Amino acid sequence: MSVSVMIVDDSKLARIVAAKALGQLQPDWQKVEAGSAAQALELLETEKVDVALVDFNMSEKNGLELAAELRAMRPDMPIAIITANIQDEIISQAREVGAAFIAKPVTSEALSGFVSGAALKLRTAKA
Amino acid sequence: MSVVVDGPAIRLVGHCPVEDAEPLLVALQEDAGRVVHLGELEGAHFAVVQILLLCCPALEGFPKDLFLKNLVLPILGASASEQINADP
Amino acid sequence: MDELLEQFLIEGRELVAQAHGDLALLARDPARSEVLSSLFRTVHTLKGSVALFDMGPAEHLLHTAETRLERERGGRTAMGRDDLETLVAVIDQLDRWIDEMEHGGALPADAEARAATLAESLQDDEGEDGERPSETESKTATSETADAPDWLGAMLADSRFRDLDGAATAFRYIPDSECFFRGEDPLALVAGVPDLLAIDVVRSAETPEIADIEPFKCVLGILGVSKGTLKAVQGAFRMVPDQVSFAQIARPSGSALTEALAETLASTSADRATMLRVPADKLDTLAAEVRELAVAMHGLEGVTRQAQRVDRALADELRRIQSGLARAVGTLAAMVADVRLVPLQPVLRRLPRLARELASALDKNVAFELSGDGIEVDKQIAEGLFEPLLHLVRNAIDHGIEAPQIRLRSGKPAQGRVALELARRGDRLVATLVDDGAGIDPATIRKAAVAKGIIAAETAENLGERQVLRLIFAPGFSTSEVVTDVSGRGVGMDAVQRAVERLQGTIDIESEPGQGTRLTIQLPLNAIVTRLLTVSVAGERYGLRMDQIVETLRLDATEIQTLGQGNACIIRDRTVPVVALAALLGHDETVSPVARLVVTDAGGEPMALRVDALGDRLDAPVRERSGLLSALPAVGGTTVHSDGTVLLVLDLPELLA
Repeated sequence: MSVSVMIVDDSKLARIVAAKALGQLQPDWQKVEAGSAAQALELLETEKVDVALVDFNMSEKNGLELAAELRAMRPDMPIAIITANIQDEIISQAREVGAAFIAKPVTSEALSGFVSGAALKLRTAKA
Repeated sequence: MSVVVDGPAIRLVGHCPVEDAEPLLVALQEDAGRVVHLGELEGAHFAVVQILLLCCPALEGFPKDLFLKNLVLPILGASASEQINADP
Repeated sequence: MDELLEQFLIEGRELVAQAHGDLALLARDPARSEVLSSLFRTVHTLKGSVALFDMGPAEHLLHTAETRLERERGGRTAMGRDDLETLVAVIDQLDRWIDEMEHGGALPADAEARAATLAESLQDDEGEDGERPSETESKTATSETADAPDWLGAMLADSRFRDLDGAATAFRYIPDSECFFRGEDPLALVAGVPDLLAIDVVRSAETPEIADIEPFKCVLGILGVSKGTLKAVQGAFRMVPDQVSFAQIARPSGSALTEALAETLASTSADRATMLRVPADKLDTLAAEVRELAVAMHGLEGVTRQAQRVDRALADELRRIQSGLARAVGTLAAMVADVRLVPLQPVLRRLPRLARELASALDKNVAFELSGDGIEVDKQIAEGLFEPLLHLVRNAIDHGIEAPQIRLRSGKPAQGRVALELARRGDRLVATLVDDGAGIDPATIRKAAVAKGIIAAETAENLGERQVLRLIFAPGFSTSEVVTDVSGRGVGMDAVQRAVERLQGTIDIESEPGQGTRLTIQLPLNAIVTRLLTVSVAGERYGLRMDQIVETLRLDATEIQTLGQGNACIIRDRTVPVVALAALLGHDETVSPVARLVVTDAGGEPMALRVDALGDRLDAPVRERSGLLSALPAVGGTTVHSDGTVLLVLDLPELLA
């Protein structure tokens, strides 16, 4: 019943910050963390993931590539790209894969729009 | 809950997030004659405003938020004011 | 004001001026590494300063600029003209924000959007293959907006959007039906549009019956009109670029310019002289007191002369004391004058930015050059100079410089040039404004002036070209219809002339039709002491300011002839009207066989004032008219003559107007 959010970022600190912000908005949501795109794809096999927060700037595979793969596997999953680098190029790519865009550092304020939209989506999908 | 249904009246209170669109719609679907009171409204998601625009309920009061009051209310007002006047 | 902020306002503006200076040097020679280093350091320091205040967007923007410059210093990318222009825009923006901090203590609501837009153009230049994405992007953006899109006409015809004051940019935002699920709030984005004037909604899908409405499906779009620029409005929609179209709304340039000008003039008064580290009003008081002291000294001189007749020994003693005092007062006056000297740079620092803004508002391509602004002048002069110069620069860009296509057709480069040069010549400050625009046709001016009743047709025929050009300074010339008839040089020119004359300066104009116009303003560097000529009229003595006098001469009274309704005489083959100063001042005219004339051009054209006697010349501090005297329109001020009597100093331009 509970919602599970996957947080993908190669920085532990960044994952903590994102998890904290999320916890303020939706204390009941479960969080699973992945330190890389590969780990995220592995997690997807074993864990229930309803929502994904993906850092753009990761060393092996960047967040947009991962988001595109996630989108292919899960057409309806709410996905957000997190980045400190707000460039039009990245914004438009994120929009192409249907991902929301969240500026770094992640605050609960910055996250709230995406989270409430995701909650709606999950609710209407179930209904 | 920022959508308060009180008999023939609906009060929008504080900041109405996206989720409020649903109870507002339901309240108006139950009774399209309900008057929506905006006097305590401080902010509204477009989904909420969209319900008001699509259902055209009678409106009362002015939102506290200046953007809503000065720029959004005029769009809502055109149809709403007629209905308010038509009300006995 | 809090001390930290006060210091920031001073240093911030100094750094802005420094950065602009470096950017100007780089524009000439982009390869100068020492200038680049200086710019880098300046931007870095600025970033550190803004970080002390709630100026996040500014800090972010400067950080981006700093990063850009760092890459440049590393020699990894080549800085082109676009980069420099963007950096100029960044510094301009910062300048505006410093103003905002001074006036409101906070950045405006749109700061973030503006910073993001500018930072983006800085980052866009990273294009590795030399292709500049920003350029291609902005090209498509303008071509989209150049021909007004279909929706704009219908939208502006709607009463909601009609006749909105200052409407500049329209947008049409059609969110997709799923947008709520991604967490987007279209209304919140619209609320973030700067200077929003009005909005409306459009149905992007068929309107459902109330029973069929889906609460979280977005079926409406939002239209809106803002006073903000295209870039500023675009900035608000950065996150949804694929769902918004924009259009610039053409508007009569006049009103926009007037607005911009009024805004600027309104804000200028507030930040004048803040570069002085001494409270400016204290300095004014000090200067006024020194002036009083000098006036009293002048009186003592007369008393000493009188004493001479009564008691020689006492007179000698007095003279000894008086000369000692005079030396001390002289030194004091010079020191005060020196303290009051301020560089012109902070006063004029807004001009390049305003010139750029005006040029872009008018769709003109103008290079504005400013040189010599390091000169120091009296604070009063520095403060009074900005307004007339801004008027002139504005006129040069608005009416002097032609539209690019017209320039090309007449064989000129598309980019017009407006250059303001400030130079020191003796004890005068000379400001020269040159443009290579359309110039002014004397024939058109002559015709317009006659039509306006400013000058009689036959007088007009007798005027040389220079005098004709001076007619544009005549009050009443600058009405809007005349402005459109002639090349528009009329706007506020009489106001410019008055402002310059208030500073005891003169303004001169030369123009070559088709080639351009040159305006020369001469001002004293130091305004405390005025050189005066005394004249006698109907038994009274008056002071006339030497800088308003062309020459003095004596003529046989018979040489003054009746011409039309007035009198005139011939001076060096030129007909000059003669007016009795006595008549102007409401005294009876006295007749003498020898006419003593003072020729002045203070009224815009040479005119001879007949006086009863020409007196001595003196350097005297002139006190501005005050109290009872302010009711007398022709009196510019007072001074104390060496014999102790009060001398009224006449304001000739006002008297002759």
